[in-house]
Amino acid sequence: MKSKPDRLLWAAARNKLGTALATLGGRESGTARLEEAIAAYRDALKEITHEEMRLEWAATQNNLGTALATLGERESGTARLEEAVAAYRDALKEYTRERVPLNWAMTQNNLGTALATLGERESGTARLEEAVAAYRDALKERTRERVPLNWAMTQNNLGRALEILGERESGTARLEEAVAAYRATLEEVRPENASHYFAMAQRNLGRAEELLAERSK
Amino acid sequence: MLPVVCDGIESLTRIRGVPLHPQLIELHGSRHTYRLRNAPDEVAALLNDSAAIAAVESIFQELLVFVVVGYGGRETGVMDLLINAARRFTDKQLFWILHGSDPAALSDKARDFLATSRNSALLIGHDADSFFLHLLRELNIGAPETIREPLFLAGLHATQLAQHDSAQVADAGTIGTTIERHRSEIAAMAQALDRHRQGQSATEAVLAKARELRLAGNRVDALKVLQAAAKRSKSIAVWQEVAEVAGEIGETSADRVPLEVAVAAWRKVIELMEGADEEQA
Repeated sequence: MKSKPDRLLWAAARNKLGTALATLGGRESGTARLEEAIAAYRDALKEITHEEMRLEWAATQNNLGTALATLGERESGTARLEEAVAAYRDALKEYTRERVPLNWAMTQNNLGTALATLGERESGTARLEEAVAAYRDALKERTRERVPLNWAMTQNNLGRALEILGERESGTARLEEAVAAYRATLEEVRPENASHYFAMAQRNLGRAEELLAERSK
Repeated sequence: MLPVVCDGIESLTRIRGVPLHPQLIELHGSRHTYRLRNAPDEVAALLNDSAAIAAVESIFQELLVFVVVGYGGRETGVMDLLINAARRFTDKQLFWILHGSDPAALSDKARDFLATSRNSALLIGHDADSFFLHLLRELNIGAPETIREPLFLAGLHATQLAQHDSAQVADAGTIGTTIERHRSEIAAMAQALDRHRQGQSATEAVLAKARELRLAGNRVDALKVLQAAAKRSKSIAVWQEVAEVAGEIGETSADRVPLEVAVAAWRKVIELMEGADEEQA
């Protein structure tokens, strides 16, 4: 039986091992590293409870969620993405808006992305609606004044979820909202500060405007 | 070199716009006096004090970079003095280091100060210790000399004591023997420090060397030192340091090798921790 300090050190080592594996896994194709990262995070979570190390526990849940979401995007099916959503929701139990507003917003954004990917793979609109709600929550703390590039990224993510919703629904309201979100992204993402994201946001805006024009005919 | 200290309005004439030596200017005074200072009316009065205005403006005229760290910017007298000087000599490189991570917490006066320049920036999420750690690391300086060498200042001071001609000094004998005692004690402490360092274990010496290199921003050499020692080491601390440094390198490098090293090192840390548990059981 490990003492509490030993358990926490061991859990911290597992968490950091998970992070190194997840970073490698994110850069490589394949899933083996990500599977190992997930196992490391889960091992860490066996040793720390959210009662004794609230923020560390939440950070590990968020890391676990991100590794699962990356794996879920590479695999077919929805099981990993469902697990990612569960991990993010667990993280939000301790990463509360009152306690750590920017971490709360980051996790809401991550949750939104996992839900949106699930929503794309499933029929219906429920997941996408949840994703939109998560992104809108994130934007309550990820404000343009406070964290302009993060705000822009979440606007872009919100735009994508609204665009897919707009494709599945009749009417133009969602597509108009998507266009507005992409335009907001481009207010902050400039070629000189984020060329890759600028090009992506321009493509997104062009596609959504085209869809909107077709739907408006 | 000890700085020129200005700790009140009356001593502002000591400082220069283009200083020959380091200067320490405590705009709202210090506590090292016979009476209480820093009363709100004294601090507010700075704004209209001609000596303070002249001193601060002379500094702003010449300075290239101005960094505010460890200060909230809430005293109107101090901040208006800075804002007026920055408005007169516009577009200086101004940096404000904010402890918290929320830019909205920046005081209105600090915001006004940064607005005087097109070359200003707000850096969030750093206290003074963390800011200087990162600054010294980016400048490849590492820990300050006085921290690396605890006797550095004392030794420097001892060598400079009473260098004038002793024949011209009254009681030269007494003063000379006192200074000699001081110097011999500094020398004895230096010898004791050497013995302490020589008595360090190989692991402690490696960790100290690697941390010094890491603090100086030289992570690659720190990793080399650590990896050489880790080959024959079962020290959790050494392997943990290998993992941390390799992970730091890997985060910003396109090369996957440092991350592979970090993964292997974290696995070794966990293995050693589990081995220690078994030995205890």
